Amino acid sequence: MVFRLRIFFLQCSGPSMIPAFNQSGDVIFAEMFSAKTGRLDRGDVVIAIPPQNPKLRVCKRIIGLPGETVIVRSRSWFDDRPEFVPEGHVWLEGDNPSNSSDSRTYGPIPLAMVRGRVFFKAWPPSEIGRVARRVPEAASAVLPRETAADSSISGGLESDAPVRFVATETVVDERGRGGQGETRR
Amino acid sequence: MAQAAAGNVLRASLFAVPVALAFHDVIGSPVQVEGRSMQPAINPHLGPESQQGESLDVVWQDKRSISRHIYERGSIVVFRNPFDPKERVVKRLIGVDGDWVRPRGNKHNLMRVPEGYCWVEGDNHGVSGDSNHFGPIPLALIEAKVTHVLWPPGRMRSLGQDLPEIHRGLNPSQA
Repeated sequence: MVFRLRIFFLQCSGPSMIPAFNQSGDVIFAEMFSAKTGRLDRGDVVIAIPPQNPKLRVCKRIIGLPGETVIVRSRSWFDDRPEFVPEGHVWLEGDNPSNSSDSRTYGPIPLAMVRGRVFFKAWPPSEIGRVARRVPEAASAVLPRETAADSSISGGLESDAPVRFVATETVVDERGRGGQGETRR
Repeated sequence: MAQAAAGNVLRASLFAVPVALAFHDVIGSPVQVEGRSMQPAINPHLGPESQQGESLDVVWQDKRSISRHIYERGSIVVFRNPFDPKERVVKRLIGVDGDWVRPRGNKHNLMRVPEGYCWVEGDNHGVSGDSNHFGPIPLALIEAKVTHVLWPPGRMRSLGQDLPEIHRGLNPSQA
């Protein structure tokens, strides 16, 4: 990565972003400007540092924004769990949920660990073009900021989401307090 | 004449600016520290109420070791606030991944720092919001190691590694 240059390119590999990116050989361009100025949004493809290993870089899509609640699907609906995204954090997921290690494994990650937004694919030649902002169908459902805070289940919830998410409130409260913790120098 | 002078300035800055930026990003840079959470090492004279014009310590942040992923227990580090990416925070690095630490207010329980995370604490426990409040933070948030106090001139000194008493002897690799 070049230090101050706001654009960098890298080769990405791995199955987690199929079909947007191939298993291997893709060359992509990313810019650091959006990440530094807080212009990231749901559906953006980003380069981030996974929390377990500061030496690695991963390529994932932003699914949940600060203050939202992500409903993580599992094999059976009664094991679905709500996860609160604290202030200053984002929820990342790969496009290929069955083969991706992402926020569903390690939880929301701090925005400071998002290093760039992928905006262009330069290789292979048949797929040259802009990388679009879009949310794949396989992504987890997200409760918007407002509905996450009150206990009503109308609005924001998809029809297939289970009713017992009334209990979301307690989860939001617990994690939310941590988010407001005083962090002074 | 004036044109030649302007040309010289332009040529000089074409060289100097990238060199200065690279130095800032790779070697290190000075930074002013606010707040009392690292007393007595940093800002020892700062009172509970902040006043205008109060002199704050300026410290040197060394970025060379962190960029090579060398994390020294007991050293003072600068990291991004996990809850606000725009804010940088200065604390002491207590433990890195795999280490045992002793969370305060919970004296009989030890906690293991998860893989890729670390434990940070302020030296002035009464006023410090640190890992005792928000838990372990990812190592990737650490940006620099604080090595020296540069300003005011009378306080110029190097800041060494110093592990608080209650965390000593928990891990075999520590002296």
